[in-house]
Amino acid sequence: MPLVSTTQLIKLQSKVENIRNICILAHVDHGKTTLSDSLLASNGIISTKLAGKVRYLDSREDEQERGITMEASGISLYFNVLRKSLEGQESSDDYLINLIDAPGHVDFSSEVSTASRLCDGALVLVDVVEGVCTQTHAVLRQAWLENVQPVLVLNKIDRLITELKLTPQEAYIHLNKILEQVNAIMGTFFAGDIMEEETRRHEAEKEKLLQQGNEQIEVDNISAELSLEDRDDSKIYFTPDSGNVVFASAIDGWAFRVENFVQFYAAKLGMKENILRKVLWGDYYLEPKTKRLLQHKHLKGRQLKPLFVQLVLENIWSIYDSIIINNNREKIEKIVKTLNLKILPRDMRSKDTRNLLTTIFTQWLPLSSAVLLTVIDQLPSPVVAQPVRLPKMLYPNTDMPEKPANENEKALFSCDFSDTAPIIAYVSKMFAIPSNMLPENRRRQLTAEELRERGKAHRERLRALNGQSEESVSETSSTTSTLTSPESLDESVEKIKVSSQTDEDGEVDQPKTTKETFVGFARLYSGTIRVGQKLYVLGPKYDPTFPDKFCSEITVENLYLMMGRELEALKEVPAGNVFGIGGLEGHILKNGTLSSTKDCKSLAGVSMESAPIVRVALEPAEPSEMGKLTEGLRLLNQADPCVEVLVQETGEHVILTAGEVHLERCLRDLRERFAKIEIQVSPPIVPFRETIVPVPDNQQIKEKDNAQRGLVTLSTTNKYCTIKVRAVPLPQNVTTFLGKNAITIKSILDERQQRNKIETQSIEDEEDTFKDVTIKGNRILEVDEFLDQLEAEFNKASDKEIWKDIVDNIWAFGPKRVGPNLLINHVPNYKRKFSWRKYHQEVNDEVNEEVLSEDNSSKKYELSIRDFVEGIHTGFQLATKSGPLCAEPLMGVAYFLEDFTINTNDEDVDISEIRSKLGGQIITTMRDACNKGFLEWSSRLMLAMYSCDVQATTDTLGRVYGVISRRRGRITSEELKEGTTFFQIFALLPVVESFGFADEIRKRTSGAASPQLIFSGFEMLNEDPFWVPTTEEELEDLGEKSDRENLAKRYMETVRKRKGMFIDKKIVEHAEKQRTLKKK
Amino acid sequence: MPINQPSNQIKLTNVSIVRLRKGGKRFEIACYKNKVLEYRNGVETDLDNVIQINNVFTNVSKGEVAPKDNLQKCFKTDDLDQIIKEILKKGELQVSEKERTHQIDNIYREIATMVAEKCVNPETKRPYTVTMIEKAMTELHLSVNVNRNTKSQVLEVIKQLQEKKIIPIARAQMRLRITAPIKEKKVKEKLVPMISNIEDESYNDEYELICTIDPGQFRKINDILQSNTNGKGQLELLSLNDTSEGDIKF
Repeated sequence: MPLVSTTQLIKLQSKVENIRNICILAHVDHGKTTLSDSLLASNGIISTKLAGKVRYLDSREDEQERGITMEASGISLYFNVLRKSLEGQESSDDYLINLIDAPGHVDFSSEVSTASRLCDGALVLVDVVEGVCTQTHAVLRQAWLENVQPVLVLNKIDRLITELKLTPQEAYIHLNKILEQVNAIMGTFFAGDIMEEETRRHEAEKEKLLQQGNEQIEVDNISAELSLEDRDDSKIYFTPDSGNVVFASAIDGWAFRVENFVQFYAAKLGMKENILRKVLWGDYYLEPKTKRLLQHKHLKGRQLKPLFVQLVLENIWSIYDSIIINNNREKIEKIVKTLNLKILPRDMRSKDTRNLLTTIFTQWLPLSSAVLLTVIDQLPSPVVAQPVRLPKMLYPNTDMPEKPANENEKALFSCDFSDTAPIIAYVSKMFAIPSNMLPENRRRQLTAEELRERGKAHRERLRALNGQSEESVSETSSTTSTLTSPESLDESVEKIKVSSQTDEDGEVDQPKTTKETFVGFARLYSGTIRVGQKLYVLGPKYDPTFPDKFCSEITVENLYLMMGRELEALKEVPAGNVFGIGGLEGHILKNGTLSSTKDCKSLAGVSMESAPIVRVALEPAEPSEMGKLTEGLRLLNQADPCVEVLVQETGEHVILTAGEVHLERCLRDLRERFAKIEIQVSPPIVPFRETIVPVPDNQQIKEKDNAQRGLVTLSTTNKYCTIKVRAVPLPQNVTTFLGKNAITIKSILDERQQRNKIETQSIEDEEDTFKDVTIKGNRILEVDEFLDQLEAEFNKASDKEIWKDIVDNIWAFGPKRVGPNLLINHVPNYKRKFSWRKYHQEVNDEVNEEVLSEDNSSKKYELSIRDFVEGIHTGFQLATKSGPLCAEPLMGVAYFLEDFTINTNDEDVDISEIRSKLGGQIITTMRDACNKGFLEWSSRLMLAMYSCDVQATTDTLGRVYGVISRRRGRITSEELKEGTTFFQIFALLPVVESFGFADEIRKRTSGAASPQLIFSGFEMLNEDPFWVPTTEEELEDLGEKSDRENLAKRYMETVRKRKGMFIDKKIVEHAEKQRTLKKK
Repeated sequence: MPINQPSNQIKLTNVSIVRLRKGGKRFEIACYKNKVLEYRNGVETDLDNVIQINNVFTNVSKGEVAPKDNLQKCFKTDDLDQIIKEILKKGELQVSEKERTHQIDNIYREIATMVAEKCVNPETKRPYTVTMIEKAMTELHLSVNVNRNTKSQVLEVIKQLQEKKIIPIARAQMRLRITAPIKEKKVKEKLVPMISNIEDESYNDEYELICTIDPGQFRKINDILQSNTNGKGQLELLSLNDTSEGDIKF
């Protein structure tokens, strides 16, 4: 059998009508890779005997080890169909099928998203034993969202026979049930879509109404008419008689559609094909005597079997029965004879019944032809698919226009591959492959003839060496195996050709280079792309009205044909194809649009089904290898669409992955490919905040002294100076206000610093920051506006006495000068040189004045608070930066500087000397005073919280609640999503407890619910870390040591322990119970 | 002379002895191991969990109990509990193994935390994590000194880390604003050698300089400024350690 060279595939690439871009989607372990194996075997890439075992497309080592697919991989297949036209003439059609095998595990659902974006059609597999699983649901949804036409493959039917031991009748009922389930899912999508559209239309109409006044009230009636029933939803369902359902057993290599049997039985039963097609699946029965078809109601209690059972399933069952269950040689021979198959006596005699089974089935009902024919019949070619899919990609959120708006779109919709058409391609992901795997780095392309020669020589050499490797066996068999299609089929597979390169020889003697190259996984929608062309890369945010932003120019360096783990170099690719493209490194991060014109919208980004949520911190085991880690992380970030890499403010390198399995894969990639160093993984450091509350500690201290609570007087060690500070908790609303407006405070501070800069520059700067900020949803307030609002917030507080005139006396914010804590000046006889409000006006004059007046008033210079302003300020900043509980920043505390006295009575002391000595001491004294004041109140820890958004079905709802409450989360709302069976749950979850949360929730709900976590701020844990039972009642209830664990204390101590601070914990709990063994 | 007989002998295990010399006499008490330091820093409050026998000895291993009149003479009291407490507080003791490892552990971690706070990675201007610093410290083969204060050890560690170049590390810079009357602008010449980077300066009504400095120089700068400007110079600390803020996405 001649090999198909790549040239033949390339030739096919330009026959757009004969291209099918498909992907295989399913729940994990439903047989995607096995199915694709069988399809590959039909092209001779692997041996038919090994199909389903080698899992060719799982090219990664860990994929093979774990037995799950982790990365989507593409391959191009050649398929030839003989078609009998109506006039009886035979015509043969060559088809090019670009197949993408997607992973099924939840963690890799991003790969599914990227794969489905590139394809027009999808094979959705369902394991008939396991039925519809969560990921089946997810992939169907993905296909629906991406407008990808699905075909249902009911896989693993053999398990019904051999494992569940169902009778054909039972199996029929079982299959019917699964089909109904799948269709029910499709129905909900359909309904959901219509609802959405309806609401959108309603809103649009409402707007219109508002504009036009209320002249039409009938609109509602009109829209109500267009309700659910009117829409034709018959096309979206899977029905065997329409040919979009395939029954298969990928492991045994067989598959069929109703179609196959229709042709077979039509003649036999003397029925018309199109009638038989309709009745073969469903409640139709054959009257044995009259050979007439009956419906269920006409059965009149007779025990007849449905046609499908009688004609189809029973035959298959009998083969299994005679081969696997009780090995009956004669019966097998009979079957083989009736089916007109050619089975070698060698196979017949073989003890390996499985092998015999496969041989019989691959001839009778070959999987590849059944599946590929379905693909060709049912799934659209790019020409058909693009007009349907592209509008949604161009205008994702709006109603799609009926007609292309301009030339480019016209070309896009029609999949125009002529040279004049603009080139528009979408890169859905970047993947890394070792440089030595690239075709240009391999040896020169060998012709098929040469290759076989070489292969032969190589094998002989191996044989001589007595070290025959399995691969070479598989190659021999793959080149010799011929598949002839059964005559019972009109359409037949004629030639199946090897198009892959056996390049092992080429690789063996290549020196191993370790570099990774990035290849973009792309689909061309219009035009023809050639090596050396210059194209624009349009980022996801690109907008044709601003042609300079998010846009760069590249030269196409390489084009590849995707052949599983290998790539074939190409010179050009016409529209409608899936291909690999090199030379994008540094231009495209994860996905983007390539275009030859700038006048093109960026194609909408892939909608990710799951955002990365598993968060861990990474560190190199060897501290000196930090650089390698950063470089590795950069590569990983590019290679994986679903990974996020952050460097946090604390200096931690954090990666976010979709799940534990995904994380493991990322780490493996880092260790073995990208960074090549040992990496340590740890839960990321969780921030806390410390605060105080006005609740009295215990019953003895009543609220009477609240006014004086927190007052601390402290002297510096040299007694020269005494500071009096009062700590007071800020009202809640003020704290949140300050937290929200940190940007404002910062901008005011910046302004102060930059006030002397050239004005134009600062205006420009401000504009920039303003833009950034508005994106975040917060606005920078003007100084006065900010202060007025702050005052208003203070007025809302209950204790107005304390907060009177506070705003004008604010000295500073902290920590980092912008935080939610205040330092307030209450020193009598000291007026700050500026208040925040006045500062905005002329300040410099004031300063000068003051200096002058001081000069005049007294000859002898006296130390005053003015000399230590900075020391006090720094002390405050330090105190707010690390609080007394566990050295975490404070939140919501106001410090009043009540008094500041200097007692230098000795005349002879040198002032400057005192000043320099005192400077440092004031900082520490101020800090200590603040901390002490803090501890006078009842202290609290504040926990960082995630807002958690989970979607769950009714049956998993309870478990979701369980997991959340076990992790001390709090449900804030729960509502049913309209039109679906999903509940949307919002909860708050402490970040400390969130490590492993996503995984746990998935495990507990068998993957049905996957949460999204977003940092939402700090929330107080209402428990005093220093609380111990004191009153009689408490002592009675809890005992002296309090049986119940103090959560706040536990958190505090873990942080203290981490920081090496003092912990109130005994090294040895029981002194007399220590082991006294001698040391060796 | 009491007779040592098996019946009136008390054998002690797990003993750690605390000694105190007072008034020319030596006193000892028998304590449990690993407990005395805990008692001293207030974690353990139960005296029975610290001492083995409620008695004061002149020699614990020989079982010689201190005579009453000696106690009276040296401690001016005959309240045994008070005496024991004093010995526990002031006496010298052999720090036992667990206590020592605990101490060293804590100091080690404290040093690492402080180093992490004070330093940045000069390439990214971000701090290192504490665990990274700890790893680098093990690579230095650093042995901490329990008796020296942590801060001086921290400075030592930073110096060593920079010398041995295990990781690129630098002291986090302080950002300052120095203001001085315009006539005193000559002070700049004296300050410049101590400043690592001048970000901005202006000579309007006042001389103003915004710069980053090594934190070790702060004192000196302050002194020079004050002495040269007669206290009219102002030093404003803009940030203690100048690190970049926020998370960066790759």
